[in-house]
Amino acid sequence: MADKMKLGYWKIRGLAEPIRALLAFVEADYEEVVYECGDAPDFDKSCWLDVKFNLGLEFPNLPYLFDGDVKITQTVAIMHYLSNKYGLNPKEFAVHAQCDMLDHVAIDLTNMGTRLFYQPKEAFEAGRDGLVKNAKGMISQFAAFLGSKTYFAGDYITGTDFLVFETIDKYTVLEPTIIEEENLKNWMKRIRELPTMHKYFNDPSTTRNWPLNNKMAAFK
Amino acid sequence: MSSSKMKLGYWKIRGLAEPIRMLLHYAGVDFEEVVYEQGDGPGFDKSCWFDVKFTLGLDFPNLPYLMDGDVKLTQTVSILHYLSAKTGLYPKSSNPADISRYDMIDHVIIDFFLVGVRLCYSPPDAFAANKAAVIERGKDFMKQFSSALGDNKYFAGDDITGTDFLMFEAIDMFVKLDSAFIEQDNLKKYMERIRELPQLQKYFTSPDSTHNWALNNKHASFR
Repeated sequence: MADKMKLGYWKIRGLAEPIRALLAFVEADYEEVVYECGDAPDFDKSCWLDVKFNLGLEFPNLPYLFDGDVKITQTVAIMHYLSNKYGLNPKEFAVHAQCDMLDHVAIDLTNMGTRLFYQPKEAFEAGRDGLVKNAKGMISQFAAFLGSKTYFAGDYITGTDFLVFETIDKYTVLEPTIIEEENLKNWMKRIRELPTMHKYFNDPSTTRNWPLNNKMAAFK
Repeated sequence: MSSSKMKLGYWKIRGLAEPIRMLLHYAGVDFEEVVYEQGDGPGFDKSCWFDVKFTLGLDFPNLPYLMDGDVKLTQTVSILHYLSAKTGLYPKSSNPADISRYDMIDHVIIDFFLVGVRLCYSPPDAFAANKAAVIERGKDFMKQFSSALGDNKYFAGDDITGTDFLMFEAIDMFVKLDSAFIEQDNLKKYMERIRELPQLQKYFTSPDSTHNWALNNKHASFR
């Protein structure tokens, strides 16, 4: 019996949501292994910490992906693996390098928010406007790179589109008017209307409806 | 007439660019260093970079950057992956399981690197207070790296890849923080093996080498 692919992560959108979006697009049959931390004040993480070093992961962390012999962590590495598996890689060498760069800028943009979201509430409120301003600047760079293309690699979708989509979408929860560029708004609409993703975007029970961040975050 | 020589732009420090420099020296690539030198304290003026940052045709202006003909890249790991592929210093396996493993290792190394870098740039009192704990955290990573390397010469097996230059530089930074940092024999031998590579002798021994530059910028608590 072949083991089903497994994606392990917290019961939040966080770093795993781009992976879930890609898997929804390709209609992959996989299992979510969900770790839910306890409530305040302890935010008990033992559901994860108790198993962390027993799963056969070389560098135990969340998210993780199990797929047969493959047991990997690191969001970008997981996205690259799945892009390759499902034929969502950039085709040309130079475009591949650019998409790799976009992937890492998306992670930088995500981390910029994460660093503030998990600060105490006062620090989060004090830094919120600055974060929105800096994020807008980076989102504009994505819009400029996209230009008049359909997707970031050109006229075909790649894993990069899912990583960038979720990265930016999270910021629209923080600030609904954060995207100023029409081309980027149209690209997001294009992705929302992909036929295989109808349930993912519209069914209230999907992971998209989970909090962005964990229970101890000032902004969830 | 614009030069068609590859250009690598970064601060006048080792920092995130040094693994890229090592790879280029190892591969014998003729490239131009575009060096930005921060001003001294107390201002630590960065205008040499900020004045040009948005005029270079970079989609996501940042340091380090690489310009190679029409290709203009930022993001350390992306630059390393691009150059690894270009110079043949990438894992030879076409097995997706192997490829994803090395991709994962590169990103874990960056996590490890940034743990040390964040300490180095923290204010002096925080640096002193947190140093021991950060070294311990670094050593936790090292246990995992040692296990992943095993008996192999390099992380991808017998052949050196971009991953090894990233690993070398990250470990070397921690060794500067704590000379007894490396506890595992296989990692000690690994570091020696890289230091003794014929292709890197000039890089390691030349007094002008970037290897002799400070690790971190002037405003860091630990340089």
